[in-house]
Amino acid sequence: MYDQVAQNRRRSMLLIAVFFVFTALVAIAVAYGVGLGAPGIAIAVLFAGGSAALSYWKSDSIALAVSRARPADEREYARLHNLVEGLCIASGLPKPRLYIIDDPAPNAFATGRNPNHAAIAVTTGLLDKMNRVELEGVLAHELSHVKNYDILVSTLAIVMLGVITLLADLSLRFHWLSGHKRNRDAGPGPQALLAVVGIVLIIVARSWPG
Amino acid sequence: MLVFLLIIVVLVVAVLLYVVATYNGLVKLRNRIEAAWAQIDVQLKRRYDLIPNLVETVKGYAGHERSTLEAVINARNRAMAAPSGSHEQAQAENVISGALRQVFALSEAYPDLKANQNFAQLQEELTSTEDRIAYSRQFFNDSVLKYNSKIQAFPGVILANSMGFKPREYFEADDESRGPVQVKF
Repeated sequence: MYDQVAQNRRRSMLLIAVFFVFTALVAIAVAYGVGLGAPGIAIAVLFAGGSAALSYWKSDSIALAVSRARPADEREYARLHNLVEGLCIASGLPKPRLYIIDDPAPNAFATGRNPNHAAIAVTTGLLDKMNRVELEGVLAHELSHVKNYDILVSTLAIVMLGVITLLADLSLRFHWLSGHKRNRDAGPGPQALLAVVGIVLIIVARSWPG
Repeated sequence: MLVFLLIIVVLVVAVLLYVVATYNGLVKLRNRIEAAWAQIDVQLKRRYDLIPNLVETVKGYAGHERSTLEAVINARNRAMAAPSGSHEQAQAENVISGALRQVFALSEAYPDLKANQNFAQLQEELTSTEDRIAYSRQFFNDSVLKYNSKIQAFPGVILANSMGFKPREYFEADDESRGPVQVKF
């Protein structure tokens, strides 16, 4: 079990590294295709580094903001806080931050990069529909994601997906914009390259395990 | 000759590193057991603090249920007086759990009490404290299991013995608390 946790962490690090290289290469290709040259490549590498760092440190805030989660008040949601504290005592984990999503559909998720920077969000629908013991089961399940570092992989995947979609969109747009006036003087090189990159990116974005 | 020497040096360094890592690992596990034990005490103390509030609240609605309320108070006082970690304390704690259930059962007979905000809050706090007591005992036993396995298994056993790491005892439930809980009205 602990070996698996260590393996998960190594794989997540590998994922970030691969993501950085991939984003850098794609961004360089886009910069080259748009005709920015050397400064463009610098911008591209900066962009790749920035988005890799962003996905490591800020992916939990992004995931929470996207789902419109608000912090769970300790008095108003005493039961939620009490249950999580109890489960944390049982598992030896630090208590994660708790969030509420106003949604009648019962749902919950865990996010963050490690147990010290973890958050659990539950919908109001879940709190309404479940009794104490059922809710405890759901929270225990989410805490197991925190303990096994599943949260790092899944939140990374969300942010990376966003970056890749953004790049794909950018390169397609530039290709379309620059296509008309470039046809006369330059060869088909950069444009063909851009088209291929754009198509590959769209395929990757669509098949990425989100 | 030089190669031979080098191998010896590498081996010695490796063994030293292993000894240091094992020692530090065992100290960490032992400290975790201490912390887990302290956590149990924290939760028991929390329960002692909550009980007077509960009794006061219930008195306002069901003052003549004196025997039920006195049972809780007496069990609490006995548990507080018993030395920490003793058999008497464990027994008194179990009596508290049973007596608290009786108090909560009272709310079924007194709708006003059941509707009281303060009572609901105290019930939530006490229920979760009860859970935490169980959880912290479980964590204590998990920690003891990990520690004992490490100092009893090979090769850790060689080092653990010479460094004075002794196996710890588990927290065990009494025979009476293993049986089903009986609620009397």
